[in-house]
This record gives sequence, C-alpha cells and structure tokens, in this order.
Amino acid sequence: MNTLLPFGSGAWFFFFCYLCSLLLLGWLGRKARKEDSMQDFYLAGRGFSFFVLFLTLYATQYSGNTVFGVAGASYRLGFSWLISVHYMMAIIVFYQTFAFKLHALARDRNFVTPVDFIWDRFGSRALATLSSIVMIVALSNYLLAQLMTMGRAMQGLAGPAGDGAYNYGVAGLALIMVIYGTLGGIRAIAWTDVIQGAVLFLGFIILLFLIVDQFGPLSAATEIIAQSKNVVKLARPDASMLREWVSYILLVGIGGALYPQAIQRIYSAKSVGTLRSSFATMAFMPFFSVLISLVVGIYALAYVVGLEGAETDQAFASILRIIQEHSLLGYGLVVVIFSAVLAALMSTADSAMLSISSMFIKDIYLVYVSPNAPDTELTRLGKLCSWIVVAILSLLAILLKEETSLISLLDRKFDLLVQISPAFMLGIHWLGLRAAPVLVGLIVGLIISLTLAFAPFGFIIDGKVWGFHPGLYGLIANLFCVVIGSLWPIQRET
Amino acid sequence: MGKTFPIAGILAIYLSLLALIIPWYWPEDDLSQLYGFPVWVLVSLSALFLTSCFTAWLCLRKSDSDR
Repeated sequence: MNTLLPFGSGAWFFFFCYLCSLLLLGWLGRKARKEDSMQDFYLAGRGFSFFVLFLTLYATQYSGNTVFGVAGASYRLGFSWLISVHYMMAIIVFYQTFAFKLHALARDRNFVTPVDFIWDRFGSRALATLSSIVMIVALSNYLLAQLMTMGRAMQGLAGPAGDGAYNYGVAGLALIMVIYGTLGGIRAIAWTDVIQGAVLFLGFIILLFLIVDQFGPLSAATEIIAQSKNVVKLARPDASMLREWVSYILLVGIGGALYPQAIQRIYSAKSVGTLRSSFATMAFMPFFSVLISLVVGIYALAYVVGLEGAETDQAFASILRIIQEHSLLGYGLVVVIFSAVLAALMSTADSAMLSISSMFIKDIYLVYVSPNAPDTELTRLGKLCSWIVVAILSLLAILLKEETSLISLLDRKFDLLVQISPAFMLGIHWLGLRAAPVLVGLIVGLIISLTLAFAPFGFIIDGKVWGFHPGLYGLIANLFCVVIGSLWPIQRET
Repeated sequence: MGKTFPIAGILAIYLSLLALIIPWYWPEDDLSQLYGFPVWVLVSLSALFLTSCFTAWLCLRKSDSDR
C-alpha cells in the first residue's frame, strides 16, 4: 500500500469513528451476554439470525487476501487467476457435505469447538488433540497473515514513515481487535462483522463503479494488454495451470469449509433453515467480491506498469492511488474502500483469534491441565489466551514483515486443514469409520504434506508437484489409510 | 441428501459443471473477447453461475438431515 496518497485529517477522523464503533459494539456485546459461559462467549447462545449469520460468514470468509492477494495474483498471472472466484465458491459446495448435519448434532450435544465433534464421534483423545493442534497451527498461520497485511495497509497510509507505521499498525489494530473480541466474545465479533461485511460489500461495489469511471470500460484495459508483451495473460491457462485449477478447487474448497471459525458459526446458527439460507446467499458472493478484485488486478495490469515480484501485491493500492488523484469524490470514496479493506482484515483476524483461544482452552487446557475447571474460569482464561495469542503473533508479524507473501501463507494452511476432512466429511455420514484409521490417516497425511511442502525435492515446482498442492497428495494417502483401515475386519478376542 | 435427488445425481451434476468451469476444451491461442472479458472467462463464469444456482437450490430445499 505504499503507493497511496497520505490521508488527510478528515479521513483519519473517519477511521477513528469506525474503530471506535468496533469498541462500542464490543461493549454492547458484553452488556448483551446472558451468562458467563463458554456457550455464550464463543457461540452467542446459538442465536444468530440469517442477517447476522450471513454477514459474519461473509466478513470472515473474505479476508485481506481477497483484496490484495487476488488483485496482485491477477496482475502477475492475468485471467488465469479466475480460479480464485471458483475456489471461493467450492467452499460452499463442500460445506454441504457436513454442515447441516453437524449443526443438528452441535445443538443436540452442546459442541463449542470443532474438535468437540471429533471427540463425540470417535472417542479418541489422541485424534481429538492432534486435530486441535492442526487447527490451531493452521489458524495461527492465517491470523499472522492478516496481521501482516494490517501492518502493510497502515504502512501505505504513512508515506515516508512507512516502516514505523507498519509496526504501529499491527500493534494498534491488533489491540483494538483483542479489546472488542474479549469484551463481547463472538456476539461482539458477529456484530462488528455485520458492519464490516456491509462496508466490505459496499466497498467492492463502489470500487467497480470508480474504476470504470476512471479508466473506461474493461474492454479498453484488455485491448491495452492485448497490444503489450502481457498478451499471454489473456489466454486460457495452459495444461500445467489447469491442473493447478483442479488443485486449488479441491484444496481451498475442502480446507476452507473446515475453517474452525466457520464451523463455530455453523454451531451458532439459530436454526438449520437460517444456516441453509445463509449458505444459499453465500453461493453468489464470489461474483461480488473476488471477481471485482480480479478485475482490479486486470486494470492494474493495463494501467500500472512495472510491478515485479512481491511488488505486485501493490496492484490494488496503485489503482486506488490513481483514483485518489482524480477527484475529491474519488479521494472520499477511496477512504470508504480503505475502510472496507480494514474491515476485511479485522473481521477475519478477530474470528481466528477467538477460535484459537476456544480450542486451546476447551480442547487442551480443560483436557490436560484442569479437567474440573468451572465454565466461568474457562471463559476468563479464554480471554487471557486471546491476549497472549495476539501479542505473540503481532510480535511475529513485526519481526517477519519482509519474509513471505500472502499466497504462500495461504497454501500451507490449507495443506494442513484438508487432512482433517475425513473425520468431518466422512465421519458424519459413515458410522463404520473408526478412530484408529482416521488418526493414522491424519498422521500420514500431515507427514506427506509437510515433507513435500518443505523438503528440497527437485520435482517440486512453486510448492506443487505436477501442479497439485502437497496437501492433496497427503489427503489421498490419508483417505487410503482411513478407508482401508475402517473396512479391515476387526479381530475380536473370544 | 434427499430421497428425490440421489447423491449420485448431485455428484454427476457437480462434476459436469466442474468440467465446464475448467476451460480445458478452449483453444489456447483463441484471444477473442466480449465486453473486455476473454470469451473463455465468460464461459467459465457462466458455468460457475449455474453452480451457484444449483448449490443455492440444494441448500434451500429441505433434507432428511434437517430432522
């Protein structure tokens, strides 16, 4: 974002009001609590209506990556990155394999964390704990990526003082997030998501009109690209990239459906009808978010020359800069769009933060440290855990700011999460699925995924093997263990 | 998922839509455009829109799992 014009006092006042509104909602969420329990703090008493559920799912699912990562990748790869629209849709498709049945079970058996289902279904502490660790690690990775992007966003606004602003941006926004998150729990976070989801949606629509007004129709942009050395970025993907399409659809579709924070929203729905209506609406949202980010990247490809490597993540900000300079109205609307960017980042990060703390307290602390701890103590420790997690990850975000790009972080997270899919997507339907094969499958899947992801093999190109993510190879081996192990006849002692 | 629409049918429809979404069938050197989008992009997005409609329909109908 270091190409943006510095904002004036009016814009900063607007951001200040926006951030204060989040704190106010945190306080209101605290006032609205019905009891001091984990059910209330992490699931808001399972009372989310369609409006709240849909907007909290939307705000949580569409993150900073939707804005910066997609625009940057479409700048690098052209229309081949259309896959980003498809994989966001795939998440909704894969939800159907388990979400509605899981909702009913969660109400019936008072699940709080995703791992509560695994413990209830398989009765294996080893499987439940390992699943919890995988989810915490994957989600911490995700939260770290959001914090780093928050820093970059603030860095962009500060102009020459960028480096310091990155650090203050990470620390300041994380502090606001952890305050409202621990004040009101998921109720406050869902209410802020309503604002953030609405601002995000509005921001995308405004952006679409602004770029057409500023640069003319998309056909003019693609004509410029067609006349340049980037003409290849208009062509359909080659065979190698098509394999990556299949890989992304499966990996992000399955992994995204298993986001712990999204599973907790499934638990929080008021009824299965509410959940069904929310997912039905979510099925159309990729057209109003990711597709617009992709188009922004294409405009940047035509009108912003010379971004290379990690700089391509600045494609979105570069377009905003041009709009800012165009008119006072453009400047004002960029303020709204920038608020939408902050909304996307914070709404994703706060949900991840709360989900991590719930799993750490309920699945680890309650089981291994203090099995008889009362609910009020667990809730209090959950809040403390949120502060500690955010403090550690904020520090890491500051220390690692030059280390990695958004897309590489995204890839590794899903490689881990998909390994839990047999437990949820098969386990909820197939009563013959047994704990031991699921545990073995999970371990084998993780070993294969991580080895392929990080070992220096020559056949791994761009972190993928023949265009497919390591997580999918791990998942195939995982499924093999799960299915064969569950079908294998059990030797019973007589 | 439901008695009137077997899982095999749902799977077959999704796989058919996936085969349309991934533009393997489109000539690699064809750069024809419509409204600024390469035509292969519009075809792929149309298939995605059908996927969204089908998914929304599946989500909204009642199922045995609801009971």
